[in-house]
Amino acid sequence: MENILEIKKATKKFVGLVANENVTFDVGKGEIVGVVGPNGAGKTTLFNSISGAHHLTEGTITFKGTDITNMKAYDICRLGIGRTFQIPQSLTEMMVYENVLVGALCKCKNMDEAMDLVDKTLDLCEMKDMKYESAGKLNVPQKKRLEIARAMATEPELLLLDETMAGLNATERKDAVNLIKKINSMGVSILTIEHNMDVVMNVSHRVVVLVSGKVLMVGTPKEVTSNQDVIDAYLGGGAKKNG
Amino acid sequence: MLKTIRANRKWFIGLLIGIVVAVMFPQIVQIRFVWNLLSLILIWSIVGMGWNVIGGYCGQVSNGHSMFYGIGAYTVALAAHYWKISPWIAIWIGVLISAGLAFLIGKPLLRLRGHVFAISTMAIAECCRYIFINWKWAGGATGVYIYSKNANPWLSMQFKNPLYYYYVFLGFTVLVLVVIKVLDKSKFFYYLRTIKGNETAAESVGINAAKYKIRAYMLSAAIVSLGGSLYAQFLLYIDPSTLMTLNISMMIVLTAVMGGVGTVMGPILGAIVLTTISEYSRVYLGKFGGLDMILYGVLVILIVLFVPGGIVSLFGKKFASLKRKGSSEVTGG
Amino acid sequence: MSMFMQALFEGIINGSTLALIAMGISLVWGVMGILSFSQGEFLMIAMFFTFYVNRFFGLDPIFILPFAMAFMYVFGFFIYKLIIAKALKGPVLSQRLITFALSMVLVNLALLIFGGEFRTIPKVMISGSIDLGFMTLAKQKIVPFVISVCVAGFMFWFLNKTKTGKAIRATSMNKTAAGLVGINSDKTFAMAFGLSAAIAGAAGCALTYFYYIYPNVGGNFQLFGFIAVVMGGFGSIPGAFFAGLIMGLADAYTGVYMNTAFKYVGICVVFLLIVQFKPKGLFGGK
Repeated sequence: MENILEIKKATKKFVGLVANENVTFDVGKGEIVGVVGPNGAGKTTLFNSISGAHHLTEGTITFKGTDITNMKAYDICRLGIGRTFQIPQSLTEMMVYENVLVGALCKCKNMDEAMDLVDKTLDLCEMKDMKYESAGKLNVPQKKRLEIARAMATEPELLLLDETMAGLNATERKDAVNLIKKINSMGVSILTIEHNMDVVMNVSHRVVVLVSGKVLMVGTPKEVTSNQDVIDAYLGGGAKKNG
Repeated sequence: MLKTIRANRKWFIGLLIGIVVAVMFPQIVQIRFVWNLLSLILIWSIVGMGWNVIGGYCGQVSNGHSMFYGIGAYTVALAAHYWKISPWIAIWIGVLISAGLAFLIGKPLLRLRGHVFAISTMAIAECCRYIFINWKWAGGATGVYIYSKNANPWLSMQFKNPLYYYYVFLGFTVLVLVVIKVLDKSKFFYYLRTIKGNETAAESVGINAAKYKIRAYMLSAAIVSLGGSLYAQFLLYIDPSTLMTLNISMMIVLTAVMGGVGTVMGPILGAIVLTTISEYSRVYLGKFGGLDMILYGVLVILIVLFVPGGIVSLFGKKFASLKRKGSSEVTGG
Repeated sequence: MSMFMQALFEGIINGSTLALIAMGISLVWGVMGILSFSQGEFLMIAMFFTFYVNRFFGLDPIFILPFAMAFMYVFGFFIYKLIIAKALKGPVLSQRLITFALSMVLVNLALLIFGGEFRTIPKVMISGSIDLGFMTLAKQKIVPFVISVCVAGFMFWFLNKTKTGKAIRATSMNKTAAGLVGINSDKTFAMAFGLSAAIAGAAGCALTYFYYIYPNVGGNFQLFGFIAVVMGGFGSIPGAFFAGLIMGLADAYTGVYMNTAFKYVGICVVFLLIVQFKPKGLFGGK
């Protein structure tokens, strides 16, 4: 399997803090890779480095063979990486379809093409009936779906999902997992930060465990959850069931 | 462009009706004061719409647009004074200069946000004002007279009849209005709105925020410059202390915000209300040293407190349903 | 050399007023996120207050100071409750416009009530000058400086050592968290606003010692006050104070060594350069 994303020795330092240190792992084409770890482990920081919101202090990130380590965020998006944010950044003054439209305008050549893509994306995320709703009126799970829709409208080959399940109840989680699987079946590789171990087990092909900014282990969900180091550092006693 | 017109049939028909009303109105109300007032309203509409591009749609609140207003005014004044260039040409020279200046200072300036950006724009505008006050070639503190007795009225845009000014300004206002309307649902303005909403999210969907902010700044400078040029032709005399002050900058902001930020019609409504109130109170209350400005200030406070969405929001529900019909026409069309 | 020292003196004096204005702006900005356009007008109102109290009671401005501060505190508190509080619930843009509109109303109200002519306090307690040979120090100008330092010192003490002061700082850092520990943010905001008016009031009262009193006087300080706050670093009140002093010095030095026209331009250029390379201000941000 060829790799769509290769992270080599990624280190990100802030003043007085090393957020990521020597992080190395790959995401294969078509894979779903989960990123887990305790709070403050450097997961979102890593995402920010990948998406170009900030840049690595050391190390490289390669996407589809291109070095994107110091690329600007908007160029990275055009190359094919889309992302969601932990707290959904919906454009509340616009309608749902307009939120998705700004994503679609990334690659579409004109408005008509963009509006078609908007419809297709809304369909995919099952938001067609909310097309003309004001984004500000959506509840949390709807906003999260809108986040994903907006990112999907940029026609990414790699999707970065940041804690999609946070704050969702069991039914909503099930819907979200289905959506993620649907997106993956379209050929989109997914890198997802998740706290909910059930979801991670269910959805990921492989899992990366980050603790204190470093990679503790990379393996299949089964390998990771039965590894003693991981259990000690992160899963603890009862953390396995809930998330 | 034609497609946008077809898609927004209703709006353009409304525009035509509006133009007819605007043309007929001064024929019915034949009061010189009203004619002058209408011309001022048009100028402030243009200026408000211009500011709206960077401040309303893009959310970068500049408190220093009086600079571009002044440059527009000075360009036509000096061009006429030194080289006898007709304002019909000089206006566009002013537009180019303002846009060029916006490009130059925009790059470093637009890296700043929020209050820091606002204060920086104020500092730059004040700098500019000081430069003009001390610039002898440009008339210094005494300013420049544009009025020349034997000039051809149409060539030099100097009319004895204020109604002619009004119709010329009306033409320009409609031009700017149509440009804004066409851009309203364009990729450019959608990107500006996204930048306003959340710049990081905007970059994550492929928007080069810096590039678009500068473009918006340039466009807004160009439009405000146009307004300034027209104002100069109207007054036939300009000086830095009336044109390039913080007060003017803030009034430009007020016109757009009171009317409705980030909307097409907002600045026009704002211009109508604010200019009418300020002109009438200046004439009737001005002799009581400052009462007119007190009224203006109180009015602004009241609007800010009780109509936070701007005057446009008073027509809120009606607009929202029109917007929905408009968007389904876009998807269907 | 003597010109250098004289400019130093003038600069510090000017700067001390700016420092107080900047502190007031910084306080309001830090606590409630509003850019206050009215600080200059609070200064102006205090000046007129001082003038009339002096006229009717014959008190020297130094003694009027506490009354001026108290009066302005109440005034500011009242303005907050009446106008600002409601504006805070609305869009950010409108908040800024409200303080601007307020300043317009205040200036023109003063114009209406007092008329535009320039006034001065006829006789002050401390006058005359100290001749140091290489420069002369006008005693009248030293007074505002001393007052400014005292008021600033009082502010630092108040904000850092008293319970109310700490509450204000807590609210500025995190309104919700502060609310959770029982701090009434609305009341805190009102106090902060009143405090900022009181600071401006102190500056105004002190200024009457040698400055002209007229309705538009606030405008001389407003923009430089803003610039000082940004230079000093958003969120840093001591930063704003020192930046105000620096601005005063810059003003004095460019006035001596450069053409008046370029003085302003020079200051603005320096400001813009600082803001480009240190967007969080000289003394760091939040």
